[in-house]
Amino acid sequence: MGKCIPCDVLLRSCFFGFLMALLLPYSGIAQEIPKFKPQVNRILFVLDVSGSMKEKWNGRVRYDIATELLGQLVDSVERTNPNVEFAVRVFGSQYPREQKNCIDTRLLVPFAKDNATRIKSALKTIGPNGMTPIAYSLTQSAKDFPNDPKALNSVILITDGDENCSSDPCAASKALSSKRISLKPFIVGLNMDVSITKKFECIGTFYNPKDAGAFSNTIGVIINQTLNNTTVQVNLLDKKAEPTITNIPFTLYDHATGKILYNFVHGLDSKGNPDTLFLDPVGIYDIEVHTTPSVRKEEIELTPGKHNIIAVDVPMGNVAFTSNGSATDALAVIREDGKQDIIRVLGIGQVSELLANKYNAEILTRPEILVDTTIIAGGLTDKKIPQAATFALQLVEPISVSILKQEKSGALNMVLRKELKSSESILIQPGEYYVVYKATKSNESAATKWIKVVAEDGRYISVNLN
Amino acid sequence: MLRYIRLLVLLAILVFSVVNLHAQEQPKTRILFLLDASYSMEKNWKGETYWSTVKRTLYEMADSMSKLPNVEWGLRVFGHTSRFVDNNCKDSKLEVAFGNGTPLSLKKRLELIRPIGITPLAYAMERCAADFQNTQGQSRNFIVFITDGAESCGGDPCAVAQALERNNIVLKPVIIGIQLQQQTVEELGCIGKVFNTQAPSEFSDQLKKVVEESIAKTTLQINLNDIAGKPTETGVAMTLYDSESNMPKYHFYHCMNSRGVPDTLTVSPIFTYDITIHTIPEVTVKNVAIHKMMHNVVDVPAPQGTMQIALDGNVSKSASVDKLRCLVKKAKTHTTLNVQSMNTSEKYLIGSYDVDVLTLPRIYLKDVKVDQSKTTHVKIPAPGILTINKSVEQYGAIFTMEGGKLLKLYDLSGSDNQETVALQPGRYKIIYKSKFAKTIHTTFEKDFEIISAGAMALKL
Repeated sequence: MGKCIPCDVLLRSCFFGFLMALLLPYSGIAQEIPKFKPQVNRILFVLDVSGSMKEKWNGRVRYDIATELLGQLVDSVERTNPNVEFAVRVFGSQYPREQKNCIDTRLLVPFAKDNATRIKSALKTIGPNGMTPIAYSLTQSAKDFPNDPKALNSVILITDGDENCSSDPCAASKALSSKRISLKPFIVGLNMDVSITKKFECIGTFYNPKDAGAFSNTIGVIINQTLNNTTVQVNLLDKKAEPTITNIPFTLYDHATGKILYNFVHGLDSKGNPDTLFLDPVGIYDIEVHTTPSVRKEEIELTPGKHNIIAVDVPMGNVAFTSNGSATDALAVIREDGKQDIIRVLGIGQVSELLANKYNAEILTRPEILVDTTIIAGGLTDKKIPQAATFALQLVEPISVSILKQEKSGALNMVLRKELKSSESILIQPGEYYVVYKATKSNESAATKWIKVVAEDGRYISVNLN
Repeated sequence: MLRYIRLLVLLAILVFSVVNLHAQEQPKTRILFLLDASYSMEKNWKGETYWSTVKRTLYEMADSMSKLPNVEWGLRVFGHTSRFVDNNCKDSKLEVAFGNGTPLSLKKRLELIRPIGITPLAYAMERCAADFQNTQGQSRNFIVFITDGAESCGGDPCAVAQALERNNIVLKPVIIGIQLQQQTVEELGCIGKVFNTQAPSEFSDQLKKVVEESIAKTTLQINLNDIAGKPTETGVAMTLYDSESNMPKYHFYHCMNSRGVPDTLTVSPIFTYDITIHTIPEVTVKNVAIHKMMHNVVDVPAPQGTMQIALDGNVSKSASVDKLRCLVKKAKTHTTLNVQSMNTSEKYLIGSYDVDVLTLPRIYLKDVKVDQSKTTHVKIPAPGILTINKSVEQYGAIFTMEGGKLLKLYDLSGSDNQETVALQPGRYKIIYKSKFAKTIHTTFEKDFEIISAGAMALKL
């Protein structure tokens, strides 16, 4: 420290610099939280090449319509948007249906820039053939995306039928999004029977275009959606369910891993609406709003390319423990009703904002007071603590003293014991007390004396212990 | 008679010797004779009258009692100033006050009194309260009530007796009855113990015995035993309650005498006691019966050790450190037994305790063991002081990581330019945003580390 003495605390930079040097792992550089903006959009088509794709749709073979339209789309998107890359995975293309091969899937064309030509020609080399192992194909597609944190990955599943390999496509889809590999798949049905479509709801957003024109349109919409910003607004709702609450920090966690993804302090824009966040739409979020105590909401999925609203109920009210007259150094220790963790420690008269709920407060007066309190949203709950009396303990010699409070039951409970060397004043709650004392120098129980003292609110009572 | 006087002399020597040894006050014994002087006391009783028997006995006793130190007596009479026909229900007078009770004054007084009136018993008892003035401290107050009949003014002697006891003015009154009817014996039973006598000699003996027992020393030794069952614990306050009424009768600080054994206490033998030892937590033993005129020993297990809670490290005094309190509870319970400040020691019964320390973040210590006669040192790392400087209003909070989640510890005050927080050594994150931030994306976070007893400044 000697080095710092000449600059003293006045020169904070010196002092601070010293501390910085002392705390090597210090990483205190403030950084703004970047708005999520992918540098590349990767879209994987998972295409059904099962035997049923041979069937006709609007007079043509389904597979032919699908591949032709896909080729056109890829071509036009690539031309207008250099940040988009495509790849194609197919299933059911290699083994005839009779073989019931349930791992018949392969990456036909991997991701690369300007892939349209490759995709178009590759699709011509295969034709409808085998099974529909949707779940297995989705699971395999995880490997198709390069490990690139700056990319936004999407899966578009094009199929004309239900999984027929008795695996669970829902679980496979959930794994993709919870592991933050891609957005939840988009599913485009080809002339799909309405009864089957229900089964696809858990996999992702399902589209069932009526005809070839609608099919093309649907895929175009999906691609656009993945290219749009995904925005989020967190509404912190008051007791009237209006989003008026703000300035509170909140954290977004990855639901699957519990990892912290973002920390924000909530704000309102100039119109008084909650500020807009630009977030990665991939994955499942948990939000924790750092009220006291905090409020969590789990398994939040964002709709990509859209404005999402996350609403969290945080009705709050103010609480204060107050006492008339002379200041007291007592503290109020607050716990949630039925819980043991201390959520806040307040001084007397200090106002604090807590979630509207039931709490227990332990007031560290002498003796302690236990207060149950219900905090009302939007209001101030003012809990009055009886004003302490002052016992001015007047000594002529050092004493041992125990102050006993008379309870309603008649029992005397010790609220203070001390070895006093000189006169001292103590604050004590209203009640009836026995002040029992003995000269420290005396070794005889019979030298014990006592005085019964009634403490009244705010009274100063001189207690002569001679 | 001779035997009685010998006993008193013996007692006198005993009391004197104690006083000389310690030069400390012994508890005073105050006996108030409450005397019925209603006209029926003139009845003949085996060659005497009731009244003359009472006078004679009292006079004999006064002589010997006056030789005892620490014993004071007084005399209150009723039914002697107004005639029976006047029906004066306020006919009672303190004839000899405490401190003036010489045999001569008693004799003078008694010679002047004629039993002529009625029996305003409740009223007379009520007046007794004022007669025991200055009864604080360790004086033992007795009323010996001599009567030959029942209340005649419609008062409620039971209620009065209870009030006297509730207010700690007297120990249970003792009633010496003179040829009382059975119904009266029962009625007076609520006031105190009734000794109904049928002959002058029985009356004299009974009265002397009652007084003798009031004065005679019944002693009590309370052993506060350690874990080995040895009476080594001491230095705590104790309260003795009357088990029946639940009223506190005595308070003592437990001491060891010069021989290292628990001090001998003088207590009234009339009661059965509940004894509370004001340890932390308190220990109570119930229904301790005391044998009269004997040395009674009560064993109370009160094994104790010390818990010292101290900040580890040199920390400069500051308001935030002064306020650090520790809530001590019995392990696995949620009731605070004691609020202990930093850098203090306190004795507890041996066992396991949970301690909630009001640091930031809170420290929850589980199963802190307190062992017999040992000091358990609870060391709390000294907090460091964080000073936060802001040029504009900032919203946000300070967090610590707990189980991979952020745990909020402290909300920034929106407005203050500077605030200080005492934080335990460790790594923290502050998340904040200026009031004037254009978007929520200009939320900032900083990680920082607090070192024990250090100072740290952050500029937002």
